[in-house]
Amino acid sequence: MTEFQKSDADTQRKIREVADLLVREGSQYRNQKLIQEVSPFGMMKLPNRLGLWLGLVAISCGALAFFVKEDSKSTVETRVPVQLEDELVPNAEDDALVLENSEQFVVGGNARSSGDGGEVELGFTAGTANEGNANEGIANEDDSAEVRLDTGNPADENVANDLPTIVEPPTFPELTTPTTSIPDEFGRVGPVISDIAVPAVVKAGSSLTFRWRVADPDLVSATGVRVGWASGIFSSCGFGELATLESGTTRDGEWSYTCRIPSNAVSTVYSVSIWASDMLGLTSDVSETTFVVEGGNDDSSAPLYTNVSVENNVSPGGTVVINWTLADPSGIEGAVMWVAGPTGFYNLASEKSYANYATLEITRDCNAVGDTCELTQSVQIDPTSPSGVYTLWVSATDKLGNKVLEPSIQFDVTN
Amino acid sequence: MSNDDLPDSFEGLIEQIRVRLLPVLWAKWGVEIGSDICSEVEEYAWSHRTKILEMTNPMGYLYRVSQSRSRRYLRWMKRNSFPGHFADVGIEDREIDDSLRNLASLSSNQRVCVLLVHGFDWSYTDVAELLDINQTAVNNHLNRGLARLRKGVTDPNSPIVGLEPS
Repeated sequence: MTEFQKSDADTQRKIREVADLLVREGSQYRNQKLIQEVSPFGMMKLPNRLGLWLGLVAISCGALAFFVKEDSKSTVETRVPVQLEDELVPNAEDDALVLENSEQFVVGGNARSSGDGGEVELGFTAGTANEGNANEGIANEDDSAEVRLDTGNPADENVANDLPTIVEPPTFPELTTPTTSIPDEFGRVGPVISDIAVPAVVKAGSSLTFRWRVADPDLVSATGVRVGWASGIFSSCGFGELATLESGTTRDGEWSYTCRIPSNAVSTVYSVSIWASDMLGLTSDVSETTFVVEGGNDDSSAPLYTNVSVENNVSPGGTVVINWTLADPSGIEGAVMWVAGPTGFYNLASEKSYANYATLEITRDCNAVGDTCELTQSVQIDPTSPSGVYTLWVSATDKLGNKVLEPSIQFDVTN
Repeated sequence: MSNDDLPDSFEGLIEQIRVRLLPVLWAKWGVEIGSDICSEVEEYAWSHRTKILEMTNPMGYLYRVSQSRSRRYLRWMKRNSFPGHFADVGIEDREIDDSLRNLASLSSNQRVCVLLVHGFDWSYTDVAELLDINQTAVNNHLNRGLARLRKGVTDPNSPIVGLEPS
């Protein structure tokens, strides 16, 4: 490979790295923005604007309807069947025509009752007749025409029926806003794990390498492995260990993870769970397989607990003292008693644990070999804890990692 | 883009914006401004969805829309917004930092072509269609951009030309 080709390949590799970086940072930025916009105060930029426009349209329609109504009201007043020179103005169009040709229209200015059966005479002033008149704006008797409203006419009682109907404001199609849930940026499928390669049998004290392939068009952000057996996990291959990319790209590449199997590892069947997540936070289905460790320790059992005793009728805020015995041929690594109340370990009402573990004290009295220990634990029951039946959960681990976590005995908390 | 790939619904349109247009906007205007412009383009697409869904090259049209929307983000003193403020916060990898600076020194069209073709595996045809230029122009932008990048790679001490203050 020439120097030029080498630099070209280097350039392309760097461009791809930058592209991956842009996708990663860009997705993160958009998700952050989205979360901000979905928050109550930043409530959705897009619908906000749509709402603003809809609001403006609604206000415009309302104003339009109002003025149309107002206009129709004034039309009602001026659209009484007016008999001009014994000729009724037949409809609103003619009325409007009259209005167009007039500059002043005094309604009722000269109204007077004739007193004969509800017949009313109105003075009508044609504005055109007043043009150039010094008394402009004042009805001229000479130019006024006597009009007559016969309210006794049944047809006149339904004058409103003769009016043109008010034009309804235009109806707008209902707008449907886009979904406000966090959208998938590039796809809806999480990473796909395949080609898992795990040795079937591994010697204790050796290294173990897991290999697998992960494909995801949205770029894999992390993938890893969890290893455990029936009663424990490896500290060296523990929870959420991240793998390294061996070959390929984060779109489609081969990943591996190597961990050391301790020489005293429990000789049993181990389960391997491989997981992956992509830039969008989508996670893969967990792929599981198994392998067997040989030549390790035969102790695959968790510590055995016995003689658990606790004071009963502890009051909230009081201290509960627990005694118990643990035995394990591999030695005790750690132990604690967890206090569970009516809703588990966490009091949902007070948003605190049922016990105040800041006050936790454990004393351990083990024999010379270290395979049996007498334990005493004291812990304060949180003052906000309600009265009721509480359960003690034993959590104990031996030196090999065999672990037990299960409920043991119950006690009462009373006010 | 073949006719089969044309979106037939607003959902499909939005998905194409995010899959096809968003990388272009990131490449051209950087992460933050590109993302913000993309949001505005999505709003525009919503407002004009009927018209856009009938187009033969909706992404090309929306790319033009994004160019219009980019104006208010770019003050006269700051025409280059690539790669974005995230790079100021700190790229720990010195090599990537250099790559970003070298890419920032390219013209926007060169950078878009380089990143789309070599970073996002786009074909020349797709790039040409979206940018509404012919494939020869894409090739020219690409070759000139790569030439400048190669120079930056082989000569790390070469001055970065055209990098406006950010």
